[in-house]
Amino acid sequence: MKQEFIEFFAAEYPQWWHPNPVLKDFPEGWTAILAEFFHALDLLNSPVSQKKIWVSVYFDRSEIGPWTAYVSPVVRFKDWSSEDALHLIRVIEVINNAMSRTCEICGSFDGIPRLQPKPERILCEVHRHVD
Amino acid sequence: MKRIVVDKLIAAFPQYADFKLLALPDGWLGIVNELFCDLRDLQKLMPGHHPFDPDIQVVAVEWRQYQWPSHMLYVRPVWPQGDWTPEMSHRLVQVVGRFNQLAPQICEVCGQQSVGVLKYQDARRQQALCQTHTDARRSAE
Repeated sequence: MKQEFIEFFAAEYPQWWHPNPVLKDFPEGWTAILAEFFHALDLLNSPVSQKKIWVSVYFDRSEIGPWTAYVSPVVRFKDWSSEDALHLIRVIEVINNAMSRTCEICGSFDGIPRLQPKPERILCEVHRHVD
Repeated sequence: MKRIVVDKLIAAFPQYADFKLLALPDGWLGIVNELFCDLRDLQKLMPGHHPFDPDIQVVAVEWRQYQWPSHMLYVRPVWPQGDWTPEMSHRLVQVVGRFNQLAPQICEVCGQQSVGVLKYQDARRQQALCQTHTDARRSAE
């Protein structure tokens, strides 16, 4: 990931960026979906109340390549509405779906898994033979 | 956790248990069993659920190891988001939050209520222990 994006995420979302040092290896083409993901998580905060870190986020990259995002609620349960919880479900599913179909190089939404050579990558038709 | 215990958890909860449980403290058996029961019951909150429906995997479970707490539970939905209701989502947040809150309060050896965290002088991970096992560990040091 380019240094400018690293600095952006470290400044805007340190609560999720710093606990996940693997994100420095996050594909360049996924920068937008990562930003959307963090922004969507931030929407759990109301404009009028004190900002909280609602969830802890963990990004896992398997040995063969695929990335997966997981969450764990941090804010106590009594502060969660059922709509907040459903929003969280949608957000985590969106990022995981996006990571399975977004080209890691250009960010186009027609990426498909390239299984060989390892590591597995999600690449569009244009970039499938790049590396 | 001992292999024989993990094998039984996998047999009882094939959608949620796997060999990563070997890394969890023995004393967490009770709360892990309760957790998996709660996750399995999430599907009862799905519209149209029938008591004879087979068990399905609603979420994927991931365990992260830290210095403290020893392990933290993370999840991601596996069942399509269109099938999640607000009630089901709310219950998932409750189940995961409760587990992560209670687990550090459990003796990692026996599962009783812990009285504190034992910090070792060397690189060993600190442990939540009951009085009996705190005394035993201190005697052994």
